[in-house]
Amino acid sequence: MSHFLDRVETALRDPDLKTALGRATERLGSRRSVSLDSLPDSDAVRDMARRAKLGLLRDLAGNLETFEKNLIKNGVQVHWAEDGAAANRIMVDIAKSRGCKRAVKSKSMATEETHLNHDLLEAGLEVLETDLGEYIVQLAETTPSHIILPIIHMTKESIGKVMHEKIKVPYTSDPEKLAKIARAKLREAFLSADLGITGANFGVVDSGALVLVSNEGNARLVTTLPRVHVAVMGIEKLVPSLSDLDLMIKILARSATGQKITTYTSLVTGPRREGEADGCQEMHVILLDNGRSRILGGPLAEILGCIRCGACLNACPVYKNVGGHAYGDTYPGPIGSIVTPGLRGIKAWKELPDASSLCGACRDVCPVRLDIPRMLLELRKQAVDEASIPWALRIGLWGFGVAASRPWLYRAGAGLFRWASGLMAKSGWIRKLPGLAAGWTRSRDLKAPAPKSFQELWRQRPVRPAPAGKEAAPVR
Amino acid sequence: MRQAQIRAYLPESPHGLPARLAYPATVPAARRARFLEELKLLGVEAFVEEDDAGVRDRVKNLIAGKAILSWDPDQLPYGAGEALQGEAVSFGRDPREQQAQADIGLTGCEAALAETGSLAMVSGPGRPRTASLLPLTHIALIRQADLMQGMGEFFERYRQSAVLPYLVFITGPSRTADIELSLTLGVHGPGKLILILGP
Repeated sequence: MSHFLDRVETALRDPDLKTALGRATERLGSRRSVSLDSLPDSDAVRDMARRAKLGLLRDLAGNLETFEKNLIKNGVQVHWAEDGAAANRIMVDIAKSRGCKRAVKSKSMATEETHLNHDLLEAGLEVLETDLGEYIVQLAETTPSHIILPIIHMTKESIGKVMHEKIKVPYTSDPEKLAKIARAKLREAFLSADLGITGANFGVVDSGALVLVSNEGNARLVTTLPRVHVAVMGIEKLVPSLSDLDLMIKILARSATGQKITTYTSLVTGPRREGEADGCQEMHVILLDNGRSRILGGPLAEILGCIRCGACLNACPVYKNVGGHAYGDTYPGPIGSIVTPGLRGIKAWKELPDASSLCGACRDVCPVRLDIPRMLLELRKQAVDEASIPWALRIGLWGFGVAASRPWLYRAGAGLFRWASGLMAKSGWIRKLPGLAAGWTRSRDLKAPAPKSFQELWRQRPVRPAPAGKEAAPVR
Repeated sequence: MRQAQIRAYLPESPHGLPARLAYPATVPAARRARFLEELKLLGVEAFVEEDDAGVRDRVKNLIAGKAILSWDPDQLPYGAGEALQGEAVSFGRDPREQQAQADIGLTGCEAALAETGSLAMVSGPGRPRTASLLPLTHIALIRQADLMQGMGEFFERYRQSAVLPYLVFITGPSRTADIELSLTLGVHGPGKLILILGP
């Protein structure tokens, strides 16, 4: 696995990435604001959505059991998967025992998290992503770089090139033509597939319904045409009731793309019923834990309220510059900086919580008002406690602690630094620092300190004459 | 023990929030105006017809000479099934490949939602889901009485019911903005949506 800083370096050297990202995130951000304004009392709706999600999480175990009961009542077969490997195994077993050969998938972050496609291909199944972005991701043999716009990092030219090379169609960079090519290719697959795989945007506890939203319609095709449908759902995706679902739908698309509602919102309630001409004949739901229950019992519990709208990515100054792949796992951006260490452990991901300016833009736009900065700070603390911090940083911080708590030492140190940096500065700027400090000036210049410190200036300030009847305040 | 630990980390929400969203009553004329306004924003073609005969004529004009995938005639409102006579029609019971050849899908709907310009479609016998999904053009017929304000009001209908049907809310034509955020219609579903609002 590559190192976080190397991935950032690679991202920053890619001019296409910066152009594509900058344009897209800017537009999405402004559309979000306009769209939320069209919702009467949107702040109260966000507060209510938060209350619904966090209230449900307080008794997640009980809610999951009720949800399972209602799924079974609707004729759905329910499976529990402790981790990704188990979820993939269950999926392969279902496919093999039902004689399925060809799977069509609608976009699902949960299956990206478990690397399902890899395991299905290993087991000898054909798997085709059907969301346009995910289809191109699959052709290009890469990974999605945004929760809702998988190929936000690609230009139309590079997409045209991928399609030309991989499926031998004439090169074009016209988005309209590219989409038409994909429609025709994927339509064949839909009509011949025998297994439909989806994630889930929500699970409605009181009615045992699985909610899927899509703009293209692929989620509808995947749940309508193949004879077997298997959904993989993270256990945190529940909402208590249909009226809570109304809240969530009101804020999800508005936060994600600025639409009032996604083009297609499907409530899937089991296999086809008596007398129906279409819909799957057999439906399964795999409830995926994969580290979620570990998060639930700790200080990051709140993050399980996330509805995966992507608004925090579009608002984040770090994401806008480095893009999704720099984060190194399924979920990028501020949400990824919490979810990834949360699900996979902090040890291998300790740089992620540092990849934030803590400006709080993510908290401002979050439709369920998650306190993302608080959780990032919590993770930084965990990183210090559990992961290995370089000795130089430890000693440096300890040294600063010693100096900062002793004024005479601090003054002496500051004086020494001013003198030394004065020698290094050229016209007020230091281009290169030596030794351990070199990291600071690798990508930026350091302003040379002022000739006099604030404390000196304070001591030398003119004392104003005291108002009548009072003595001048002595300066210490 | 564990329950208490979980609760400790999930902050309480601000007090004074309403228990549920309020759905204030609306009048039909206002709903209709809002619905048509939303349809305009979505790029949906809308026809308002005064009587049953008007709806039937409109359907006839729109589908003449095209291959159609339709709900069963007895499931369509306003006797619109009549308009299918003499046309090349397939239904939900026909083979998939044949259904996929259709140019136009013809359906009714369970309800329409004014505040988002959405259709609520419910699966059932004689109402194939493919009709609103496979063809490039989808024509849907809406009864005035089925025009509601929003999704919340629509869900009230199913609050007490034991079983929820397979539901889909359709809002405008199929679209994507995956490629450089440029809008493309008709990716997998219909690229054109035509609504006929009857009496």
